[in-house]
Amino acid sequence: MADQADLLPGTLDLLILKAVSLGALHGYGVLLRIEQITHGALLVEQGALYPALYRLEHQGLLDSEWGTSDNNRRAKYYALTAAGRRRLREETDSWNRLVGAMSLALKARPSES
Amino acid sequence: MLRRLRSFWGAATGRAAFERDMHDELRFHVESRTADLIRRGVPADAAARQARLEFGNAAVYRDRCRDARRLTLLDDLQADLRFSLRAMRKDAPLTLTIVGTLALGIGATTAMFTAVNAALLRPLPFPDPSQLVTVSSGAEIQAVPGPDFLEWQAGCRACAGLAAFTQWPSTIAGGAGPERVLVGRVTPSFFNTLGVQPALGRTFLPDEVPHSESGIVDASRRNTAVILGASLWRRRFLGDPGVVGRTIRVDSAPTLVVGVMPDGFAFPDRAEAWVPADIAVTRRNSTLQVVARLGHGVSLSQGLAAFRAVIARNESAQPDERRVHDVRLVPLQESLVGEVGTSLAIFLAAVGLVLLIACANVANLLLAQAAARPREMAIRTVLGAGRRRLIRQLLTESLLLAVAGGAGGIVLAAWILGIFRGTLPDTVPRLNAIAVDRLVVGFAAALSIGAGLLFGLVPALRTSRTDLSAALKAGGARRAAGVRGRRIRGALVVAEVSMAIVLLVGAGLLVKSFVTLRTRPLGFTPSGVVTANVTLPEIDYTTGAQTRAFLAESLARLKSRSDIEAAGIVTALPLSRHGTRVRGDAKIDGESQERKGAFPAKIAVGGDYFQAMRIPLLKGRLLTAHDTERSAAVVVVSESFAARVWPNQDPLGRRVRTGFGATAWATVVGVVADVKHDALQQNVSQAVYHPIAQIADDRRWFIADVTFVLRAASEPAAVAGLRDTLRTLDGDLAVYDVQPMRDVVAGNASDPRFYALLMAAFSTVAFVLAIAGLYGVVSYSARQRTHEIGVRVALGARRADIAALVLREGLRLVGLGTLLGLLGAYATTRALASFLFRVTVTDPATFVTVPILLGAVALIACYIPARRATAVDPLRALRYE
Repeated sequence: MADQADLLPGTLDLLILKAVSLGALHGYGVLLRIEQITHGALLVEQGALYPALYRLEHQGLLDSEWGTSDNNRRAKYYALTAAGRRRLREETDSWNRLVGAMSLALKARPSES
Repeated sequence: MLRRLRSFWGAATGRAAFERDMHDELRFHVESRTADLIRRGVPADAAARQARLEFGNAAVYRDRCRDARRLTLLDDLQADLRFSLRAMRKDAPLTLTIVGTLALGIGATTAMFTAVNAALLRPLPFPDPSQLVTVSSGAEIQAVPGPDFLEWQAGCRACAGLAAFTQWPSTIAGGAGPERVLVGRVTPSFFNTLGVQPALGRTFLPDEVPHSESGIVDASRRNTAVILGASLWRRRFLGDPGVVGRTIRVDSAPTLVVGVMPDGFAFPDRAEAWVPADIAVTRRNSTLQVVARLGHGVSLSQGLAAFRAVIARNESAQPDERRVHDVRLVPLQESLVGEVGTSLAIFLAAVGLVLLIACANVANLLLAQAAARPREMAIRTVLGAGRRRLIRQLLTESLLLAVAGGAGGIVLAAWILGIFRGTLPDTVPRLNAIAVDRLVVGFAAALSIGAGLLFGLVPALRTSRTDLSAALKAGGARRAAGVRGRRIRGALVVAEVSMAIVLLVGAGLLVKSFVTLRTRPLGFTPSGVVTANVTLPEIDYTTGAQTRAFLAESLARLKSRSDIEAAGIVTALPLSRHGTRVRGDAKIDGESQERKGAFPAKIAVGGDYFQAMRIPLLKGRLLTAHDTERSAAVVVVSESFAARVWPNQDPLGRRVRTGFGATAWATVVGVVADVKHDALQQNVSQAVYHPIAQIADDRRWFIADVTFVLRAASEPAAVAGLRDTLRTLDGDLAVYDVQPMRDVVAGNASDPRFYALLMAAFSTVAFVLAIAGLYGVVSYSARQRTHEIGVRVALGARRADIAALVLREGLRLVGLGTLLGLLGAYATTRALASFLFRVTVTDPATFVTVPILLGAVALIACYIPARRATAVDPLRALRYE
């Protein structure tokens, strides 16, 4: 657990969108999916997931529906809307640009400047 | 956006379901986690604890979830409202005072705004009203002679329509008994120009227009067609559409009803029917008003240029000295509103001041209340309420108060408007349009919210900035309110007093002007006199001889009645609009030309007119029944006419010529006192009185419209007697506008009376509010200083010193307010100049009386708390801490 990193501000929304884009999930499922795709490298406050989910739904990026979970219980499932898919693409692009630019900047050496 | 609203709305309306689902969802998460942990080998009870721990503070996250749906806003608002209502209930007298004060201010302002809106702001009920202009002669007499109108009609290229009209009353019979109504006399183009079509039937055809050579447009000349107004149609014909095509009688002449106008159409003035206008072919007289619809995109100045071009063209083709050589174009709306616009604007400003005073008062009350609440605010701060939250809470309270006040204000406004409709002078145009509508309610709502923010913000900002430690200490409440609070409240009182002074000075000027007007000598004695009007239609009374005979016969019969002291007839009743009012030059025997400046009113009288009106005879004799068409021509003149024409000479036996007598010259046999003839404001009143019996045959129209003047102990009996007498002579005559002479005189001063009353009402409200505010602040501040006063008394201060201490504070505020108010009044009263009669805008008496009056009442208002302060018992005051 020692090598887990805190989330950068604003990245939780992107992670949720990504997680849900791989298939409809309930809230707990989103947490598990994030842990799985990040190989447990990121530390997510579990409770903080829900305000984020509610906000994304409010913004029309997610749709929700009550369904039955694997262990046969009533659970609320989230799925990506068309707008959510578009947003995911845009955010992914801008994230990649940011990361590219950042790593370029951090690799800079004195001779190249 | 829509989606978010729906999401908010869904959550807000299905609030219980939202909460349940959220709880389920979060529990599902924690329980799934627990199950996972157990599966990984964690003991059951430890797993549950760890799952909860990993989840974090569920209450906080739940709140953030609600926040994500914007639900917290709603929760806060609900809490604010609930809390505000509780606070308001707890201090019911204060709440009632505030709501009442606001209702008064908002109600008065809304009512005034409604009147202004109806008269000034609301566009005329015609399509594209901005293109409508009145076209008047640029000369002193603004009416347009018929030939000029016809020339313009033929030549104006900038006009999409041009129409001439005038109006005077006619007697309409048919459907019910004879009734006098105001009738518009209009050219066939009138309705098209305004852009209004009849609801039933058609407008006038060209061959329905009568033409006369005389140049005098006679009321009863051959009416061929009439269009009825909607109200007249309902009243007299019960809204029967079959009336179109029927023949009714207008001034006894059979007239075909060709159309009915839609509801609300009452132009010009308050016309209820329209007949085709008779356009005179000479330029000797002019009675026509002209309205034009300028073509699309034609500006006022382009229109003016077009009219001037037409005039220049006609003048060069056929010069005529009497032609209208210059015209004035005024937008129709502006010409209808005229001077009334200024007066309404002034009153709107005045009532705005009343509202400001009301707001200042409420702010003061709230400040005083807030000063007692720092502890409450401090406790709420300690419990975690942010400053913004506190401000919002306080603003919710003041807005709630404002909305309650606004609701009361709308009710009050509707009530005031009821009074307005009864008392507004006739000069206010489109009175019938005054009503509380959506715009007015919107205005009241905006006013309430504006007022709520205005009086709520200062207390809210001040209260929320509470010094915690000071406030929480016992007794800190009084000190925390501090000097600054007192200064703000003092400033508010100064503002109130100064605004009240401005209004009081304005009211003082108007009232003084009105009293001056009403106490002017009239030249006659109105009490005990009743007047009634009769018009003899030309179709039944074709000649002057017939008309004179009827009047003589009716007078003879009235004279024989015991219930009438004196009965007379006059062609132009003083101070009214009735009859035929003629004013013009008079030729004097022995003078080579018309005497400049002698423009007497030319009046014909019959019976005992002078006796009935008690117009004193100064010299010679009055006209009698012996002055007949066969005896020598005589006249009686007024004192000022005699003084003007024959200064320092004996007027008796001189001869004058007015153009109305049967013979050219008439001999002066008497001089009577001057009478205020046209208006109370009038200064000189030159008049020449002919006996009706000696009026020329071709001047029938001059004596066809007369007023009976009866002096009797019982007015109703006299009127009944008159009706009886006339009915036996001619059953078709309408006796109309029966009015005691007192009312005729009062009606002449109705505008100044209304202005004075309105301003007096406003300033009284302002005065009471300002004094109440002063009293509140002084007594509150005295109570706050109880401790200090106790110390002073303990140290040996006398009662007089204590009283002076409190009085000084109050009177300083009053003095400052008065000074500012007088300066303000001095700067603003010139707006009233045109409404004042023989009172200057800086009338010294008013500028001295008002501050003395206000000062005296203010002294009492400050004396009461001062007296109370002297009764402070030092022992109790000190223990009060």
